[in-house]
Amino acid sequence: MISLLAHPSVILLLGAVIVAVLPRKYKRYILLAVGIIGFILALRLPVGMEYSVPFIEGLPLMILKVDKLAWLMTSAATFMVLVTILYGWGEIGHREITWGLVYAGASCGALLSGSLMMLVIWWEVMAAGAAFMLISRHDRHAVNAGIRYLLVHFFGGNLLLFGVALLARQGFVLVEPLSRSMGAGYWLVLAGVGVSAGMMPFHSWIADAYPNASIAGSVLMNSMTTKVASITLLRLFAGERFLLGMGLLMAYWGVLYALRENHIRRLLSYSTISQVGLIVTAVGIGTPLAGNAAVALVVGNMLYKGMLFMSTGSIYYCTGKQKLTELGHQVETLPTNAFFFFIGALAIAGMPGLMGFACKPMVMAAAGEEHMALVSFLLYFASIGTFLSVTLKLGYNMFVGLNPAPVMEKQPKPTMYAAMAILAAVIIAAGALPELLYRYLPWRAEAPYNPFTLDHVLSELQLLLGGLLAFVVLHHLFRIKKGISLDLDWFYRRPLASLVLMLSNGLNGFRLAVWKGMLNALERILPFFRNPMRILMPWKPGGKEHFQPDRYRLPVGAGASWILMAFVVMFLLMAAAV
Amino acid sequence: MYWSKKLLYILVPILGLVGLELLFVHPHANFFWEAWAGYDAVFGFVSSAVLAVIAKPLMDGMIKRPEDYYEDVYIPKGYHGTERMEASAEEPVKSSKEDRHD
Repeated sequence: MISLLAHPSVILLLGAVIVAVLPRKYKRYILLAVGIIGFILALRLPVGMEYSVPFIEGLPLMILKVDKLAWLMTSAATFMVLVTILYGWGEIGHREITWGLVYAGASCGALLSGSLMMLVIWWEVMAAGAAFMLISRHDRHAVNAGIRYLLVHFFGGNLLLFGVALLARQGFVLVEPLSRSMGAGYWLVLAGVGVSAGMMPFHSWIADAYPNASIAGSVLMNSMTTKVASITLLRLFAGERFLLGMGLLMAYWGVLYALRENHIRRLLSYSTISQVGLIVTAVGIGTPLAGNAAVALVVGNMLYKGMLFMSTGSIYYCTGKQKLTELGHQVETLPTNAFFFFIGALAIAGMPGLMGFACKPMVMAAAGEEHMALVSFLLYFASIGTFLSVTLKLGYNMFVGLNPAPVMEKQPKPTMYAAMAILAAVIIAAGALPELLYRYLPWRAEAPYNPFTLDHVLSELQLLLGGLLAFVVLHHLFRIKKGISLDLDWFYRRPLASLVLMLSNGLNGFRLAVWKGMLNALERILPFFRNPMRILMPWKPGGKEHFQPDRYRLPVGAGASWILMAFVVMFLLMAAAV
Repeated sequence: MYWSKKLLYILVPILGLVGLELLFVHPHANFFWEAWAGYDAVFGFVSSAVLAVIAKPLMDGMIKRPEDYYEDVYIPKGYHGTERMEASAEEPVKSSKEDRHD
């Protein structure tokens, strides 16, 4: 029981309860304390610690299993929670904080759980936490997005539960590599985890939910669900060839949609899909180097994508606008913000010296090591798209662009800059000295890797400059336009919604028709239940002998005497019974 | 003049990098094409152009829709319970006053 107190989820969930209950005056300080304690607890988790309780039919429910990977990921996740708390200082509603802490706690729980059943439980809590975090904003679009999020993720969670139940029948209950020979359970678990990782065709919840969260909420969401799902994929399905193709598909889909997008945070969400695609590809390659690459990319994406969400979020906070067609020349109004944005954007593009250069080329190197020529080629191809869409398109149009700068409603808070500065320090440090990150990677000993070779740096710079050249020469192709792009969520947002509305309207129509018919029938048969004397003696104009109710009605006294007699009889009967 | 200047600023560093690669680097590539000097710059340019062409002109016709495309599907106007949300939808960043925690 003592070891449960070391669990970071416990303090985060406790914090959620405290924030929900306590008066709002002290809330933000308690929130900060919860974030700091959670981070410290995660850092102090001893590697090798295990804690399990018996569950149904004697199967162990391993609540806590700390290995190197779990330690690294939990630390990174709680660090992001702490930075997000700082970023959203005083700007988040308390319902949203409560659900956000539930969400973060469940994510840490899923990262630390050692048995599949525990994973399923945390998975469902995670889905509910994120969905209610969206729903607790008083915004119609956010509420709708939250309900869609709930539907998609409970669908995925049920697939996962089904698969885990099948695997448990075969005797596999622990979170360890699964194999195809396990049959249907294997594929169901893969599908269930895949929905949360944003695999096709269920990727569009990412582009639906992230832009509709609050500015701090999108930072939190970016560092939780997809990353937890990627790590779970790495634990369960390393080396699965299906993931190779799926990851590449996601990488391209995300990049192409990001290149089209006008909404700044939705553009970043599509770029997230593409980045998760790279991670999933690395999981599909499945060598130790690829595993390291996947972990490094997950951590990197938490940090530099979090930075991008923060800097775009503060632009939204200041101007109230988040369409590229309405933004421009922000470098004059928000120069510090522009600096932080470009640190994140160049890091995600893989600029040497920033964190992305330490993470992204590892995937290509892993593919090259396995002599997967096509995969390596396609990965390079997709990664240049990230540079084009995030760094060049988003950065240029937001900070320079052709539109005039919109009116600034307010200035960003100092805490926002503080959060971004912390992230920037980590990104630059991990980029300049990759060993800071690499020493924590789980397969460091098996697969050493050094990104800073001369040919590597030169080729990366050439790649980026080639992309820049294309952006300048073909600028008319990158022109932003109003409008949205249909994604696969069209199927459940248009036809399915229409079908449900049609069915509901049809049933409602049926109900109304039945009700109306009953009223009509009642009206028709009502005359037959009237006083028969009205029919026998109908009223005639001028006639004397028509029916007059009062003539046939008994006096009041008759009724009263009947009631009195009934009472007397009852009284006598009761007296006789006693 | 303007365009040529802009291009110069990019092309000169590229050529410089390619020169560096030719002079100083001993390529140890996994695939033969990665050993060619200047391959990455050309690849970066060509792949960017291909992605841009696929993303914009090719996909526009199929999937481009107006911004309010999804607006009218879900909740019909005046549906029970939406009045409060409709009222606060004008201020999407902040929650309502009593929901702020400060």
